[in-house]
Amino acid sequence: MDHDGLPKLDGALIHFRLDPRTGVPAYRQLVDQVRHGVRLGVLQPGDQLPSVREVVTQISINPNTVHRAYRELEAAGLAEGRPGLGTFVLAPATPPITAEHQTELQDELDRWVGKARAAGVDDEGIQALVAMSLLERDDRNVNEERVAR
Amino acid sequence: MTWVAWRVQRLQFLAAAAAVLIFALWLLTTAMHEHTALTIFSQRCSGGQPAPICAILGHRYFQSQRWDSANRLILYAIPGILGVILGAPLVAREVEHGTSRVAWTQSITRTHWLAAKLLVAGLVTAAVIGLLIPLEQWWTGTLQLGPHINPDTFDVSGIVNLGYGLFAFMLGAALGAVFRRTGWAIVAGLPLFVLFRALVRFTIRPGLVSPEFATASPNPFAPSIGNAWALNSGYVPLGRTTPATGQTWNSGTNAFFRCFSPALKQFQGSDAVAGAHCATVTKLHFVVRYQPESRYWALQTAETAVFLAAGLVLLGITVLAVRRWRT
Amino acid sequence: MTDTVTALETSGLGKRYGRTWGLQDCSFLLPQGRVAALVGPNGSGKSTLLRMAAGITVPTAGEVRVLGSSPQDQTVDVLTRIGYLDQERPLYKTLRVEEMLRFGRSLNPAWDDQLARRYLAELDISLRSRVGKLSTGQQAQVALTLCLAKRPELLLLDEPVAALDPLARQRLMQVLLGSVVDGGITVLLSSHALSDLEVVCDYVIILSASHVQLADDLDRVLATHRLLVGPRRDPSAVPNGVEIVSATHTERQSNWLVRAEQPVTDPSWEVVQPTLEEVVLAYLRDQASGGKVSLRSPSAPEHAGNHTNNEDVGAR
Repeated sequence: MDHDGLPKLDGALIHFRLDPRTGVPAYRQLVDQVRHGVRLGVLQPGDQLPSVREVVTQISINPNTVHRAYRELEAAGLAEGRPGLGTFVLAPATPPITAEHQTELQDELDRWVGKARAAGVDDEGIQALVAMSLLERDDRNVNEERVAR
Repeated sequence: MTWVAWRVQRLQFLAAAAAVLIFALWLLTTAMHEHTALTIFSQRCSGGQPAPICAILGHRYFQSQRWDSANRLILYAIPGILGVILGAPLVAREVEHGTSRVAWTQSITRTHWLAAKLLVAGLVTAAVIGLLIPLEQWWTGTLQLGPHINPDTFDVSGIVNLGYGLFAFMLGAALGAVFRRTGWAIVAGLPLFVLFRALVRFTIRPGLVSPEFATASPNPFAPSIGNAWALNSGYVPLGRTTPATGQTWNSGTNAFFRCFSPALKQFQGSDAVAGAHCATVTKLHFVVRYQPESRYWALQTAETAVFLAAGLVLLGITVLAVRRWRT
Repeated sequence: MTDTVTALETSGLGKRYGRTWGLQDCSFLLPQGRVAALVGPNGSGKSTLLRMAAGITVPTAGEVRVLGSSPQDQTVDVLTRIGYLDQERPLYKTLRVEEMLRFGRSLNPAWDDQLARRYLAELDISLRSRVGKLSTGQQAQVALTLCLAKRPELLLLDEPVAALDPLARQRLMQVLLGSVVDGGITVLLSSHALSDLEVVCDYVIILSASHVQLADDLDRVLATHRLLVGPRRDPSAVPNGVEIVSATHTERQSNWLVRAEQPVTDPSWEVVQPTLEEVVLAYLRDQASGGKVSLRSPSAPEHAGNHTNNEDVGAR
């Protein structure tokens, strides 16, 4: 039992999962889940990401995919590979989200969704708009980081 | 691999051994019974003064012999059937069940695999038959079935059975390796075995060890050869021990009797005179070509060697079929 | 070291059964360390290919080399390094499971008994059971255990997940991929179920009509194949430098799955990244024409088995 009374599954700090139907490549999903974990504070700087072997055992995924995801995280400055030890989380460029921020963002989101609905956009349309915005943003970020190096 | 070879065919081995054991016990029982009946009869009734009980004892002895032919037949058959049945499934069964695909993708070569299987199954065949041989020797001896050199007894006593059995085994294995079907291997193996055995018996065995010749010359009639296996006999030209080229044993005999029948009348039924006369006239004398009882072990060894050699040829075929064979 | 030795290499490999060719003109190169998927319909030659690689079947034409050697040589060295699972999962039915393990132990110097026992224990397969009494799925698992515990460098598995329930499938993948991570092992597995394989494999071989349609790294396959969507038109309208794999049409729309080394920039087409499943189906669908397809008029009869993608619904 862990200190908060919940049963501990194994040594890994996060459990990855793959959704085969989103059309998002597997390595991408892993990267996103790590980013997500960092933003939400589940992963702290210095935490060790699950080893390739652990990931491969959790979800049936090709080891190269995991290697690729970790490499991309390294390239994005989110993680650091230490030979013989593993891959470790680095301090994120953006600080993790605070509870205040979260409420603020949620309210704003609510308003925006109301607007979109009024304009006649359905659920799928809303999701498409959000996805597109994120993709464009992500591409921009990756390019900026590459240029900065 | 030895353990694997044993374990996979274990049931077969045990069943075969059990069947032979049961028959051996049966043989023992009937032979003891017959032997006892004979002993009692001999003790009581060979005095020239037959007691009334002798009719009964005689009848009892006679009855006790009723299993002899059948038993002899079974003893004839055991090496061939046992060998083919244990050899045929060796490779064929594995291919039929697909287990060859497992066996041939482990870390041993096919030759190693085959060698181990042949060794284990071959040893079992040899052991079962080998234990039967002393029993046969005792059986043929006790029941006084005639000179051992005689084919009837020769075949069911002594080490030839080992040769027969191992040959049959290799025959089964080779056919199984070539046909890849156990059923076909057995169906083809049994008649082929019989054929080869008959071939050896009639064309090879007589000459395996040079036969002896006996003649009663100048007596024109058949000499006595005691306990022996007569191969040929008849009238052949003086100075020869075999018929003249182009002649058979019969032609000489016919020629002699063409003279003898009228000569018998001429000399008023005296065999001796008529015979002497014809011997001079036809220039023929009676010769017996035979194998004496003393040749028993020599002949047994030689014939066993023939069958083992044939078995080696079959071994070569089996190895070739397994190595080259790919579905 | 054998780093530069390919795991499996075929050139012009073919097998004829009587009059028909089970496999023909098969040439590809599988590097070490890959988890490769061999996909294709029944009768396309998958099992034949695997058997030739395992040394059980002799090629009629061409040659196959496994880890640098010919499997037909049958040396102990080669035999030790290949593990093979046959489609029929033959086993000695009268033996107990633990006796099958003894079988493996006796015949393989590199046998890992711990691995075998652990694997079977996790699947709840009792060592004392007779193999013949196990269910099909359990027998498949025992057969698999035999391959895995042999610790080969190359695993050739014919439909390993076919008879397995989802939990067993997961266990198998865990063990397989764990071995890949530990290093030194290449896996070639054939399957019908593409969905499982897409995430697990990094190399794809597509067999159809006894020919190899495609054999390449998964990344490259996805990078060089595109789905072109646009209004219905003639094949000649497809951009240059592009090889048509398959096409489906409706009255108004054409979908072309193409192979292109360079990105397609023609603005008259919407260019979409196909999934692995779409690529494979495209190759399997148009086998007879060898990848070249002609425009079908609306009145032409549909081919059986075509249009497995739900893009196309014939206008009737």
